[in-house]
Amino acid sequence: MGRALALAVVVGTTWAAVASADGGGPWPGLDFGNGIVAPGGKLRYSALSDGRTTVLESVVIGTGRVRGVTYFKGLFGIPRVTFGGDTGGLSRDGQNLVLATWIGAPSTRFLLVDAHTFQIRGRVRLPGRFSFDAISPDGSLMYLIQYLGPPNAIYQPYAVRAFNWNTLKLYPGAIVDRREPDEKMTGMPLARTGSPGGWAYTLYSRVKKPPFVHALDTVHRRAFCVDLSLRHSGNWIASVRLRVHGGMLELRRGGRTIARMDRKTLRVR
Amino acid sequence: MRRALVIGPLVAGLMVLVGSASGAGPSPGVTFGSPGIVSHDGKLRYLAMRAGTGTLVEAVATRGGVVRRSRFLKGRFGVPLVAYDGSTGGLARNSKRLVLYSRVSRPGGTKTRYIVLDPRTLKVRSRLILNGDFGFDALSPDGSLMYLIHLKSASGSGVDYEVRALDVNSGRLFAGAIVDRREPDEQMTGIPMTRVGSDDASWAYTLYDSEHGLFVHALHTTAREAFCIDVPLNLADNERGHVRMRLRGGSLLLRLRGKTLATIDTRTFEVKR
Repeated sequence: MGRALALAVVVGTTWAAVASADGGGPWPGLDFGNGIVAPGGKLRYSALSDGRTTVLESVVIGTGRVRGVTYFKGLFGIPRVTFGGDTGGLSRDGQNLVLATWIGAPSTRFLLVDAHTFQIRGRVRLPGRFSFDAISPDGSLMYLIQYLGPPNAIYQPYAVRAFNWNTLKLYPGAIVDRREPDEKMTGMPLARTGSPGGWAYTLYSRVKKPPFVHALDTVHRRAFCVDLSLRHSGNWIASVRLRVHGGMLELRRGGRTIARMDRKTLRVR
Repeated sequence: MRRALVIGPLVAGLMVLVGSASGAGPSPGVTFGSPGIVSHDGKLRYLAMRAGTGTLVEAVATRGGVVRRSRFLKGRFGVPLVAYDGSTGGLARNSKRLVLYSRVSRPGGTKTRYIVLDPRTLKVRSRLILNGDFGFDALSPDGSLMYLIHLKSASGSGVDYEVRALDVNSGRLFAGAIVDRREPDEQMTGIPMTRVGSDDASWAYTLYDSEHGLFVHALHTTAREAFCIDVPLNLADNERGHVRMRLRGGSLLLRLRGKTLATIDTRTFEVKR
């Protein structure tokens, strides 16, 4: 999966939607306000920043009361993982929350925060431009997209990397689909869902090519790319949502399932 | 109502109830974080958070917890507390003004800094700096009048304060204190325990506890008038802090653990037990 990313015309409009994003690559940016909902749906975590200070808070859904609040020096946000507005960073066990800085600087910083006490469990500054992609269910592994091209390049080669929060080190090498390690990935993330077992499924669109699902096993550091035979989907692919339903990954549009992927065999029907 | 406040041991206990509150005396100060203050329609909760040396003020959707609007302010400004049970104020009934404030005590004297925001945008509409300690008490329904508790002096036995009205548009205090004209010389000794307001926010009813017993301070927020209504109830010290008020029809009910202890006619101020 060491694939060069191609940003299409559609990125221009999406980019406007995330006008605060800078730097190169298909980076959905950071979220300030919508935040991320905790497993169980009772709490929402939000980060807000004026550039100098970031306030992190947990809000009780249903009352709007703030349960926990703290602030950090610097600008951090809850990472967006798709251009559809999906956010990430909270581990499935609800214990760990990752905050990220903007990419574009010579280095990128991440914080690992205890989701209950808001104490910082770990912090890392990685040389280069990285964006958050996913986190393992227990929060020990973080997946990043490392942008390898010039900062403002439209076509941006990148690599998916795994980071261990216990050792504070990147694993060597990129996470690629070993079935087709040389195929180039060109696309932008539009929708995301996950499974209790730690799979992160991301729908990517491409220019002049059919969309595909990137299936990332966040526990075992492996990934697969599954092409979808959805023709002429360029106008509506952004409205497709993903849902895990038993052993199937469902692609849904307008309340209807338009395709199913067997999560075990990766076959699409 | 130029009454000397006696702050007894009760205050210490009550302060625990509002842990994030600042200030002591007749005005409970401000709060950061929850509860903030909820809009009249219940859809938004306005909160002030400490953010370094500044403040983050935000409007949070109560239903989904999404931060709808936010703004960083220089300096620390909190949501006003109006009673020691954690009741808050500062949002005009018409949701066109939100008031936050802070008190700064320096050797040269205390200054109180108010900031008036537009709740729809959280943009700053005006800033006020008052020489002296002016705790927030109430707002008129349209937010054009603000009532303040001016702490005039504090001594070992009590504190002396007066209620003042301020024109928010001009930033000027009206001359003279707001007193109960029926008994202008009677001293008020007490601390605010809990607060309810009429649905149109034209009345603010505050239950005070004093060494002479409980009384309700009824403030007409548009007419700049106030009335003090003694409520003779024999309650143990540890029960007084749990009395709550509720408005029902034309009556103000004082309740303790689900039972109505007294009823006040809000037109005549007659008290029935």
